[in-house]
Amino acid sequence: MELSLKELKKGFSPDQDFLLEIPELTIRKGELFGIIGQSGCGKTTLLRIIAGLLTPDKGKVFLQGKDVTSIPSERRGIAMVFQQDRLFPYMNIIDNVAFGLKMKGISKKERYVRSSEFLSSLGLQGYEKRYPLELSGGQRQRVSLARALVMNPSLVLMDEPFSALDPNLRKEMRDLVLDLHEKYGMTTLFVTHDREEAFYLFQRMAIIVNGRVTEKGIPRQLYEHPSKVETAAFLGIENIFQGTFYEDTFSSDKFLIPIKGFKKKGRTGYLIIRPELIELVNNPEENARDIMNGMISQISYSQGILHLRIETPGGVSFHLVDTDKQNDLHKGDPVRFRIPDRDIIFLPEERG
Amino acid sequence: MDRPVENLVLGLFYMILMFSLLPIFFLILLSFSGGWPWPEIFPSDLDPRAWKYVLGISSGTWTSVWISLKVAFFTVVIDLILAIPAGNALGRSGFPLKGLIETILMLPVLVPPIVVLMGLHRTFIRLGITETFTGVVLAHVIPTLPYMIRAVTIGFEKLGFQWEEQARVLGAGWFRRLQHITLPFLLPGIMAGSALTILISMSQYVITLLIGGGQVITLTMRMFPYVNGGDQSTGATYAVLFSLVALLLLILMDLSLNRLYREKRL
Amino acid sequence: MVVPALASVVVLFFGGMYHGLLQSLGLAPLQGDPSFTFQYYSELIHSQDFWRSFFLTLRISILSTTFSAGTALFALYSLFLIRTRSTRDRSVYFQRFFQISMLFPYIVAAYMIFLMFVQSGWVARVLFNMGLISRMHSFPIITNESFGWGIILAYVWKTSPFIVLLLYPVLLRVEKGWLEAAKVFGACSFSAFREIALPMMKRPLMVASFIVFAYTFGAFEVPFILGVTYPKALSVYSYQIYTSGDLSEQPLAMAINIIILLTILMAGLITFITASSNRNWMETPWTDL
Repeated sequence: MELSLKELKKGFSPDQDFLLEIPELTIRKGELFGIIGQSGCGKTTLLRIIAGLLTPDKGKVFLQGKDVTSIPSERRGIAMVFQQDRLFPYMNIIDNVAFGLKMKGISKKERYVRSSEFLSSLGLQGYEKRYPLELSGGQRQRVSLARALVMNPSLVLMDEPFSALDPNLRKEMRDLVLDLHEKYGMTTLFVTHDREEAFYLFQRMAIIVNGRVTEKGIPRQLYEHPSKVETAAFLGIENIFQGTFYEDTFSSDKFLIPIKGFKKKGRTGYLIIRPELIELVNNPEENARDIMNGMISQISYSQGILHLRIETPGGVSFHLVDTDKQNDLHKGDPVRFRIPDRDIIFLPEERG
Repeated sequence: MDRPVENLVLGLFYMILMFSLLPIFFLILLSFSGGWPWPEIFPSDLDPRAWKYVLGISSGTWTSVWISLKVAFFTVVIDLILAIPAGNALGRSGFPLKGLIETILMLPVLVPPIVVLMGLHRTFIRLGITETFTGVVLAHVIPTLPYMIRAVTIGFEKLGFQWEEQARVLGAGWFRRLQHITLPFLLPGIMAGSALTILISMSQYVITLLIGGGQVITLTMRMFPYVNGGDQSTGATYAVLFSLVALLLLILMDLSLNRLYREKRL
Repeated sequence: MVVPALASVVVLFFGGMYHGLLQSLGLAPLQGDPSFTFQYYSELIHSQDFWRSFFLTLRISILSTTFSAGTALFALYSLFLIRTRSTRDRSVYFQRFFQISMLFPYIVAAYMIFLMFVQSGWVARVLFNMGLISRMHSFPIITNESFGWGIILAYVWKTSPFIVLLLYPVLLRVEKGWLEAAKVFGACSFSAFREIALPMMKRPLMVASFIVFAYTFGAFEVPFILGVTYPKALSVYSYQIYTSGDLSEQPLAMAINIIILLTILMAGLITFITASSNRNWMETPWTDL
């Protein structure tokens, strides 16, 4: 393992609960691992503790098996890319990139050779003698990446490095990160609040809510088979219902959802239905028992995907994602739909 | 550099700070000593005789204090008369050659006053203002004016035109504008410039000597013979007195500024 | 608007220098007719006394400026440490405290140095009582000696806070983000100071040093109190010639003054050239401190 956290706790006031509490977290060597959470959930705090910029109240940080908890930041041998590029404005680009190497005592010649190499990898050859203020935001962030990678660190930390950039740029940078990771294979810990980014980049990830890890694993797995309700909610699934299963029906106080063939009779818990799974029934002839009626209460479009909110007469609201371009739907239209029983997630309620 | 070395650096720094204070304590002790023979570290013979002399009528101290204050005061007045219109122009408007003019006005900072004043001396003699109060004041204006201009200019820069225009639009007449808008913005600059001017003016020696010819006896002139090899206790007493006067003035100015601000509640 | 101020400066300041220049060139004699001559300058250039004074003053100024800048940088590094160590920045208080010596006029400062460091002075007494020296005369002569150490000491004590005053705002502009980045990449406090803060201070440091040099080169009071009869500082030399009573010598004094002026000008030029060539494109022009 490359990075390991044990019993990590950090709080900001003595009489409250810990802001950050992580019993265990491990990142493997060469992995592109992600931390995803909302603003203020503690993910930046976590990163800063790993970087050594903050000391935990309790717990330990291990790098390559060594306990670095009490070792100051400058000696941990990690590199970091920040949200604001934090390039040194009074130095030119190549000096910025070579900074870490200079601190290590590497000769000027070698520093420059290595730095030039990485600048080229990032498409910035020829920019060596320029100054940070002359570069655009995207270019500066690339220099920041170069500065980190040139160190060949045991761990690269990235703190929402692309949040401040334009969306088009963000996509470019993400691809860049993937390419660089493939080329150099450095262990990377990437923090973001952007779900899209998370799914795009991470090999494995941990979801942090209120300073605690909700769940960790492969992004797709977490989405398709969450083991906690919070995970599903966090990953953007809106169709979460609490209730009990009866024969062919899921029911709660307020509503009934017909579901054919789901064999969980008698169990109480959460029903989670991914929006892409709900099917619209267009054929007016079809008349199975599990077809529901509803009305489109909201409709929105985004790049080839239609998001629908359907309300049933019973007052239940479903979120549906449709890519069938045939449909010419409007708000207020009546629709018929069904919920197939495969791929539905049911999480039984824990016994208090 | 490690933590312990850093601590060493800081320790050294704190020591230097302490040493900055040391001469002051020493001066005070000396002023109260009757005789202070070698090798005493603290004077065994404490005797306020030096203070009695300095503060007494016969020494002429109070006359000198008064003269120093008068000179400083009039220097400030003249400086203000010259600096305020200049600051107004420099701080709020642009005009051709502005940069050059600014540089020219700042130049006296870099040139030793003695150089300038030896050249002026003859002219002053011809004008009959040597050995007069007026001559000394004029001589003091030269090194102090740049600082006053700088301070006042900054005040005008902060003021700009916007606030007065606003007040005008809202119906305030020129006097009320002056009172409630212009002055509050300018006052800190004026105070700062005046404080610095007073400090510089009071500290002058050689130009007062040169132009004043020994007739305009400021405090520095009064104390100089003691400082230059005379009785040490008396010299120390004068030094302490001088510092107290300067400090008092600065505190007074600071206080009055604060009181002004508090009353206006700005 | 600007006219009265400008006029006064021109008349008094430039007028004074101009008149001095004229006198030094023989063009405004007290007696006799004006005639352009370099004789006074020539007399100085051939005078050993003059050169001794010149190099003494130059040496004192250069050393004072150097030590003052060094002390100021040390103080700034200390302030940097104080500022970056804890979340609440207490460095301001220390900076203000450091400036105590600025309140005292040079005369008082010179006197204090004298009292402390003269052979019968306080420092000697402490050393004696500590057993480090056996007699009063074992204490080295610092005040009133021909090298000018006492003078240098007084200048450094008074001018290093000035340099700190000018450079401290630059320190405040160093952003925490840069320091964190530097830290992660392996920089200890000193490296961070050296690589990040120092380059930012280079320009103002040059300007401040020049101002200190200009002051120390032409100042009168301190070398007068702490100097020796021979060699004298240039300003003292000039003053004594001027007030010696021999009116025919006065142009000589003026010539010395002009030379003082020219030296300061030269130093200014050197500073300007160095500062401009060091130009990092993002910095503001040097007159803007």
